[in-house]
Amino acid sequence: MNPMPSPLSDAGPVEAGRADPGGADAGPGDAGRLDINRGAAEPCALADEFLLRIGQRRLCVARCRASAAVLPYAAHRRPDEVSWEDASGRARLASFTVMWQAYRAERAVPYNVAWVELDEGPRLISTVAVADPRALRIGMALRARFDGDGKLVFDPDDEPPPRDGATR
Amino acid sequence: MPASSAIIGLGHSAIARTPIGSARELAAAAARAAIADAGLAPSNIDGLLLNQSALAPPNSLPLQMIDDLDLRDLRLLSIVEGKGASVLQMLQQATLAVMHGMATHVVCVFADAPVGAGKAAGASYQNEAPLTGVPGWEGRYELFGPVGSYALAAQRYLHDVGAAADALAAYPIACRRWAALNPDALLREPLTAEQYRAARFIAEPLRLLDCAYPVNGGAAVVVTAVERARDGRAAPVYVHGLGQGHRTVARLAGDDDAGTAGMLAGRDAYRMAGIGPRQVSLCQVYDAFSICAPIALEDYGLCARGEGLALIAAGATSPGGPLPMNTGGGHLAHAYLQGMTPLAEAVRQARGQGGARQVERNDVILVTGSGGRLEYHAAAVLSPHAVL
Repeated sequence: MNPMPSPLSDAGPVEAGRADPGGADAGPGDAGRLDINRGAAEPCALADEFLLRIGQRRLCVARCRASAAVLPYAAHRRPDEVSWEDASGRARLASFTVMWQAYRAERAVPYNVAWVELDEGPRLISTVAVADPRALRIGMALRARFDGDGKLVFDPDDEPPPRDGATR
Repeated sequence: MPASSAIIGLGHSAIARTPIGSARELAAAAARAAIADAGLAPSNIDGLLLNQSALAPPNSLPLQMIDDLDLRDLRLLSIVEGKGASVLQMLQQATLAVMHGMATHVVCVFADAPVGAGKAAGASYQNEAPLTGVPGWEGRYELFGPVGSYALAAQRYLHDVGAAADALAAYPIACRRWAALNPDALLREPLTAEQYRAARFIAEPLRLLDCAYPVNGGAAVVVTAVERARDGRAAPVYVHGLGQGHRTVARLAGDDDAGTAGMLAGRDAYRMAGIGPRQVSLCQVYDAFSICAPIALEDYGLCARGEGLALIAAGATSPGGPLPMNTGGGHLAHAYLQGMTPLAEAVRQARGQGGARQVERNDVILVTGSGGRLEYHAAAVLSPHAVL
């Protein structure tokens, strides 16, 4: 596979404004049965900031100003409590599933859903751009990319840098 | 150690795969049955705890159920919501109340009606899975319903223990062996490994037969103080230990070598009961997906880490095995009444009402609940004996 130019470096500065969540909130779920306790459903400044940058084709991580720790995306913080930095785009595949059930009629199955751990620490759901899901291996190195629709996806990374503690 | 409370009543509504009423109606039927089973009248009940499915519309089981049940002057009333841990959280709250004289007889009830006319039951579970923590994010990748999240946990588990892709088959097969002995179970036919492999994938490595069997129905228990345990008609089932444990998204990446927060729930429940996992005679665990079973065995110290699935495959948890688990067939083969499936079966086994599936040793019964994406846990230790 050809090395990918970093998709994360050519984005312009983040501008003020609301993130466009891309209309993706509207899942095909049965509207009559809503999870009364879904933790991710509440609006959150940190999530809004993350989505704002994603909309600008930037994958960023949030660092807590007080502890200097990189925060999980699920954390709830006020905007002035965090600073944002570009992620390296490097990641590992923590787990994956191949979905065989289509939750909307026009969706072709199978498709893969990946649980990705960024080198900076946060984990997120994404997908790995492979034609055959049998190519997926837990622990494989990944590299972030934005596809033509501006969706964050990951490619297998054939030339990952050594991880901390690894010998060259 | 002496017990902390006693379960003196157990009741069910009708249970069916077709519409048979609202969750509220089913909850009322189950509660009435539990009150009658205890030999009590509604006028004896002064506590009511309600647990609806987290996926059902809000207020499916409203506080106004007081009137449905002809109750009056309640001293304890609450809706309890901790996902799959809720039922044991109700048991904990009821126990605390009766121990301290804040209630005398507490009804704890769960009911759900997810199976509608003309639609697949699975359609009721299609909400976006909140894993990343960003609203709308999982929808972009079409990860809906809990099954995809549990598939991530299962894939990682199989990888970490070096098991084959279809190794989970051992669990649904064991569940069917128990269900064959349970006249109330909904899936009683034996299951072969070939039949398992022929079942369609929902989210690899989970197949249809790795998923809970949704039903419409409800179940309830009546909890009272140890001193009153003999007031009832049935043999009391004593509550010796209770615990909870919660941690955000765990076990999906396999880096939680220490296990899920179920470990915390188990530690407290065992300590309160004055026992260790070695004393557990049988266990009834929350098993909405097959992967939950080996993880529970490990988290609750019933085997070494990474050995849960091998233990199941060796038959240890099947009929005749040394560690009977989910003796009614569990969520996969008996019925998916969420936290009430394991609790109700534990009560039946403690009472010796298991019929063909009654285990010989029922002295110490571990019951577990878990929910969300293996984030929220609760555990209880029950026994037919007042003192352990």
